[in-house]
Amino acid sequence: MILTLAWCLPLLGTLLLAFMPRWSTSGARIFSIATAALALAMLVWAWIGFDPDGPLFQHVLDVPWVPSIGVGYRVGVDGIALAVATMSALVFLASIAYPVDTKGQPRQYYAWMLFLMATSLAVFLVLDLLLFYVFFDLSLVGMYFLIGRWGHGKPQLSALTFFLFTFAGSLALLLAIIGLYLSLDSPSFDMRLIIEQQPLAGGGLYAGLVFLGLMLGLAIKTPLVPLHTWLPQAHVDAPGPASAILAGVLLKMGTYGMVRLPLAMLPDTFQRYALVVGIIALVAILYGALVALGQRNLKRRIAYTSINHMGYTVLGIAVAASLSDNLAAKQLALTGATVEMVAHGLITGSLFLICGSFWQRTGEYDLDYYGGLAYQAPLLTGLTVLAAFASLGMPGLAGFVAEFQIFAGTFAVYPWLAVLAVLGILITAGLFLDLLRRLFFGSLPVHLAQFTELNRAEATVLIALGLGIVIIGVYPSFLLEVIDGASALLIGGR
Amino acid sequence: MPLGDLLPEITLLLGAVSIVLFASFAPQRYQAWAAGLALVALFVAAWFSVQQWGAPPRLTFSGVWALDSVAIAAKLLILFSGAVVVALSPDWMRSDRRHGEYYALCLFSLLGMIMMASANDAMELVVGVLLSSVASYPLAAYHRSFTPALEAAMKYFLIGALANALLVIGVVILFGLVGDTDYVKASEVFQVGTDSIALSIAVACIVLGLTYKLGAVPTQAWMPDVAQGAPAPIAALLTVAPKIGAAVALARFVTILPENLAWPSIVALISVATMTLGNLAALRQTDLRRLLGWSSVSQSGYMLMAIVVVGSGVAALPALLAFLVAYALANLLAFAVVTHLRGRTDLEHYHGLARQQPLITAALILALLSLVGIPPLVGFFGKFLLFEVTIEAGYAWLAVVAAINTLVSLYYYLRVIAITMFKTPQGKVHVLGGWSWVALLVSLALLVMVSLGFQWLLGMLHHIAFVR
Amino acid sequence: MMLWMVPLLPVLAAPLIYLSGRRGGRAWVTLLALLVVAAVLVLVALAIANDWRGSYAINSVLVLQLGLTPLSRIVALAVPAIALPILLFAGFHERPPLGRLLAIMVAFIGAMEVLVLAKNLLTLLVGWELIGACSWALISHHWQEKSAPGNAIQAFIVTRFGDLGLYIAAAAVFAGSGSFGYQQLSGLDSGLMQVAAAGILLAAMAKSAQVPFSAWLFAAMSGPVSVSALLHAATLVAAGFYLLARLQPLLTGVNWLMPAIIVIGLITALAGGLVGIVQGHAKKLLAASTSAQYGLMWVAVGVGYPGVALLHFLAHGFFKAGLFLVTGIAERQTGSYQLADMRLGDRLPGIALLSAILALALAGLAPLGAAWTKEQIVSVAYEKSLWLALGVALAGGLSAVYATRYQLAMFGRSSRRELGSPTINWAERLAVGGLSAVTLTLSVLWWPEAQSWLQWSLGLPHIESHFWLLVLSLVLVVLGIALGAVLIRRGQSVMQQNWAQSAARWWELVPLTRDIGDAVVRLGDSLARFDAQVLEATTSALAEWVKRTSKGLARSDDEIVDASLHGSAYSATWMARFSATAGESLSHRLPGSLAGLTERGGRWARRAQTGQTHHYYAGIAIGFAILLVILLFGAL
Repeated sequence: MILTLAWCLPLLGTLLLAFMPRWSTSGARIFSIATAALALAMLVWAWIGFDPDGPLFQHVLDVPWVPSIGVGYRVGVDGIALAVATMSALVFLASIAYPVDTKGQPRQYYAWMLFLMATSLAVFLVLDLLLFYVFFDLSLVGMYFLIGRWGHGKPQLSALTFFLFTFAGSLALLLAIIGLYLSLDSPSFDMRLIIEQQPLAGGGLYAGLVFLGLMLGLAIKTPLVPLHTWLPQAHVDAPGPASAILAGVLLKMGTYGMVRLPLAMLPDTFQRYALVVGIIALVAILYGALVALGQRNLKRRIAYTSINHMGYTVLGIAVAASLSDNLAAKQLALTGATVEMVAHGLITGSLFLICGSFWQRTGEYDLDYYGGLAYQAPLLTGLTVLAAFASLGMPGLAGFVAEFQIFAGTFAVYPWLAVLAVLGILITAGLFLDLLRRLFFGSLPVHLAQFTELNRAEATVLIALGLGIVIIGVYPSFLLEVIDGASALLIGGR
Repeated sequence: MPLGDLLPEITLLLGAVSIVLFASFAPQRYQAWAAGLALVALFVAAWFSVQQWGAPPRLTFSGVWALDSVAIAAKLLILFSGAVVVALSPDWMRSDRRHGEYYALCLFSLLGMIMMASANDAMELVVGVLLSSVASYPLAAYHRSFTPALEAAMKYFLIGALANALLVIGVVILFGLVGDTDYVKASEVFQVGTDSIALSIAVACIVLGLTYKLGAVPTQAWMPDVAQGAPAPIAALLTVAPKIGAAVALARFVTILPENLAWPSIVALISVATMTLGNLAALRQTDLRRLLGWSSVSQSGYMLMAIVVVGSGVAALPALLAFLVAYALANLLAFAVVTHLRGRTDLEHYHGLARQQPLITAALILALLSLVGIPPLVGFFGKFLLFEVTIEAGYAWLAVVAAINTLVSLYYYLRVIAITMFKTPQGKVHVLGGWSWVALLVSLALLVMVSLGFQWLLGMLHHIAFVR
Repeated sequence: MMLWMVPLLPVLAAPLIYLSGRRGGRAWVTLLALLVVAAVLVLVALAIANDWRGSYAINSVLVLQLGLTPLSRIVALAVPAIALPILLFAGFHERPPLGRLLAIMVAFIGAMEVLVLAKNLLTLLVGWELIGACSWALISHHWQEKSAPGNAIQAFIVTRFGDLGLYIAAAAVFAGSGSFGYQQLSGLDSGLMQVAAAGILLAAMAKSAQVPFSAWLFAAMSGPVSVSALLHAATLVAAGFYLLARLQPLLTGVNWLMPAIIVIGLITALAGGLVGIVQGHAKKLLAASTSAQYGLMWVAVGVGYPGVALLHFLAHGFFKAGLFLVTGIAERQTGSYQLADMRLGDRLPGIALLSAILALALAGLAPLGAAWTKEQIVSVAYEKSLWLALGVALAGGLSAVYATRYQLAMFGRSSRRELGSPTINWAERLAVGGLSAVTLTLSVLWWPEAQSWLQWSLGLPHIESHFWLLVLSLVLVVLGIALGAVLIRRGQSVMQQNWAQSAARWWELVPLTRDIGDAVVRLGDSLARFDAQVLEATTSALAEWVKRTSKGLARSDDEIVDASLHGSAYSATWMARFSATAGESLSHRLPGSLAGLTERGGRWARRAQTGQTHHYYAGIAIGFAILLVILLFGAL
């Protein structure tokens, strides 16, 4: 019930915004912030009521809809879904609260934001494959309109590219889901049923194809190299909050899907291809990091670091799926992958919001345009440094907890992948320090003399996110205990 | 007593006659009341049909008239479509000075379609087809002074003439083979065996005659023009109701054919050609009504998938009926929107509609998405069942083709949606009066309700079958 | 739990120091910083007194543990002890605002304490990475300058490259034992243990600037002088040596490790010594000597006497810190770090005297304590082999050369005109004086009683020293001093020679390091170009095409071609160009053809809609014929 509230409240807000004319800008904003905060509160409440040692799925609600073809309204969370969903709600709250130029259509902007929030949360909360797919697609639609209408540069084209790619991916996903559905002797879309029955446990070509479809669809969303080409331009042309959501929440749907569908439903098949997936993830890690290093555009650089970080996540998932009896390592890897999702959501979310602030001030993403801002905007500098170091995996911040676990877990299973993957954090360190140098250090160019410090709203949001990053960094226990339960059950450790 | 079996049809007939009388004597300002009469007739007919539901399937009137669940379901669906169309009409027709008989014509064509659905006899089928056609021609051309309407009607008529002629020829050959036009007898004869060449000719003729009513290849050409030129309510009627009758009739007819005849392959061929052609042609239409016309052509292609597998022992009929329900709801809703927006047809007139008419836009979007088959709308379930039975019957390739076509179709449906969302609106949006508004809301509500309550619909259609 | 207070206090106090520095002047913020560090010293003493320990479990696997060992006791005390005068100096030498500088230095000490007290690899890694980050912030303290931030990045990247070794080592220990404790190291199976040892060695090499990672120390010199003092004397560079000294007893199972340590240490000691001799930049001279001195400690660890190395570390810490501070004072007088510009003559005689003491300690001249600790290293090296001992003694001689050169160049007489009155304040004098005093006091180490007490208290094994060896190395030292004096007289000719030039560039390690970095950046650039102009161009071309069609405009196959040609036109590297052609044709054919098909079909379908009835009839007839044919064939 509470989960239903969590994703229905934003939907309600959307309807109110859409069908009630004459909202003032601030009115719409305050209203949406309140709605998002309520949704977040619901998830926090669910978190409090969550029993780490309990069954895999909790807060389950199951309402039959079309039983004869096994469709129903089913929601419920395990630790992984709960963690990711709560993080998403937080990122949404931050992005909605972040001041942005709504191009004279505040009502539509916030309506779309809330709509996207509802669908995205639903993706993480539902336990019905059909609904999962529906919301997976609806989130595309929401993002499409956000980029297309409030973006800059060539927004329509980027939005279209984004839509085409991810939609193609979701079609592969659909075929695979239907395949999975038909493989049951009494067809049903109930995830729990499929996880429990393991219809394709035998493996074989059919299972392989279904697995391929699932992974293809999810890899495009994640995105894994070489399916990432839709990402950078979409980010560059999207408004700051939208790209914060795109990187912070939408990308997670891919990796969350990998945990929820292939890992849980086709473990045997995944096991067979785990090494391949791991190698692709490694390529994504190194390629993403190197390409990011090569970028001279602030937003593109951060966009590519997302590819690198999602690579870590996929690597962790692949290890968790691998054929190895070192359960401790596999569980560590899976937990690390999940923490990476949460951490990356917060970190990259704040980084993209910062990009938004830069754009609102100067309308420029070119790194060479900037320099020497450390004195002009100390708070902005400090928060950026915090986010950057979190992103390059500094201990005491969220990124380290995730990446260390992934490396440790991976090494125990695929030593060479781990040895090569750690190079990623070196390159990441280089590119982020270079980023900081170009933005804030050196002498201040004349044209930046009027550059202003963060205003109160921006500062509050970024500080809140930064606090989240630090808290996860120094006191991850509250997060890990929830996740560990789920990963232990998924790995079969408990 | 047999006459009781025809109560719905008789009601329609009486309703039509009384409307004609009323219209010829009533003064002009009361003409709209004829719509009320028509609605009453439709509802009474529907009520009678509901009474017939659930009774064991049987043949009546010495076997020419099938009274089985399929026929009744189709009948109800046709009556519902008619009701929506009639409700859409008064505001549209207000400008027309004497439009009373318009409703009578509607009822006649509906009657013809119902006859197609329940005809268990080739002659009966011919009568139904001809009745619905003859009553439709004037409806399509009702705006005498509007050239596109006349052109559409003319095209409709000419193609219809040829198709019906072929149909009659086919029936005649059939009669020559069997010595009777009754399906039961025919099937008995076919079991024994008969001249395959003559039979092939007959089947080709009859199937082709029915494709005309389905708006399927190769006689699809009238569909887009009628959708564009005819009065919007009539466009709604002619893109929906005849298909229901014709689909059931075709399904009924092919089930009596012998196994050795390759009828599934020709139906499959027609299905593929129809859905592909419709989608490709709709791809870059700049005219919404024409686009809907082509999309309804492609939808006929989908519904033919069910008829391909109707003899394969899978639950094809429930799938067919469910799809017909989904299609009828969505298409009627789309045309209701068009009608309510005073038939604005050029896509440019839909720019930025979302900002001026959010609710109407929402209705249009729901209708289009349901036509694509996006869950959780009823259209998805309709298509889902079609794919399921097709794959189950071993026609996976057909399902794949249909899936690809669905992809292509998604493109033009989304384009319309994007236009209503993105573009900046131009000028004020004028809408029709209360009748069409109510009709729109009702069909919208029904679309949503059936989507959520699809299980109920499925339960109703679960056991339907042809009388044997 | 209490032991956590040692690192936490400075880390938590840092923000306070930062804020107080933002509003107040020098006095308060410096006082606060000094108090904090003193408190750390006291806390460590208390911890030793009642044997505190600390543990913090994140979950069942990830546990942070602190603990005390004889070794970590001394280092944990030494770090704040050496830091105190440095902070005092920093507070009164560097330009305000001091808040950020002092805050980060204090935080740095906290992180260093984590590293020192760590009891498992995870905890170690945390401290290890944190000091790296702090060093980045400290070196780039003068962020307005052009070079400083870049150099800070180089220092951070090189040291972090070593950190990767620790990641691997930690992972290996986990893979073998399921936890991260130091003790598990000894229990690993050989393969994993070798991996762990390699990782640890790599990390140590990078941090304590051994060959081939020595170059980053030069880059680190663009930080303030007090920062250099802190990094070299007590913290960053010390970390590498400390790691080896701490884990050496557990890694004896790896047979190649100790020889590797010895070789690396000795090479660094000799090469670094030569670098120091020819290096003209005062701070870089000291930097080279740091590498060299830590090289000596490595040798000691390698031959199995971490305790001896520890003693030399202590002595070195004090005099090296002092020397850096002196350099800072001298630079304040002349405005340059170039030894050629120094020649302070008899200005600041007091400082000159103190500097002389420190320099002699660096030279390793008896009776200073540093000399004794160095002799200890020589004698333990002799236990391994004579050549090793000779090598160590030679390295000591080299250090004597550059120490002398440093002192004389800085305070030698100069013919140049007198500068204005010396600028120096009491705090700077006090700091340098304190450090020199300690260095002087350490002379007691020559006193047998002290030695025996030391051995008892540190549990050092007895090391028998050979008189002739002692004499030999002292002779080498004296020779070195003489040579240094000569070099001052007519050193220029030597400096001009090529080998000297390249030695001054750390035997080309400096350019090499930079080149490697540049190569990686170039790789990134070309990959980025490839990504943007091949992969992404095709993507956007596809989207562009769809957009065109959706608008019903002209076919846009040409757009795709344009986009891709446009993309390939700019692609610089061979790879990019090659893949551009491949990727272009692929991207162009695949979506192009499919889409073009749909497109053409659509046009055809619409053209079929002519509106002329005989066309329709023809169509129907054809359709009928087809149906008939199929049926007939089906029937036959």
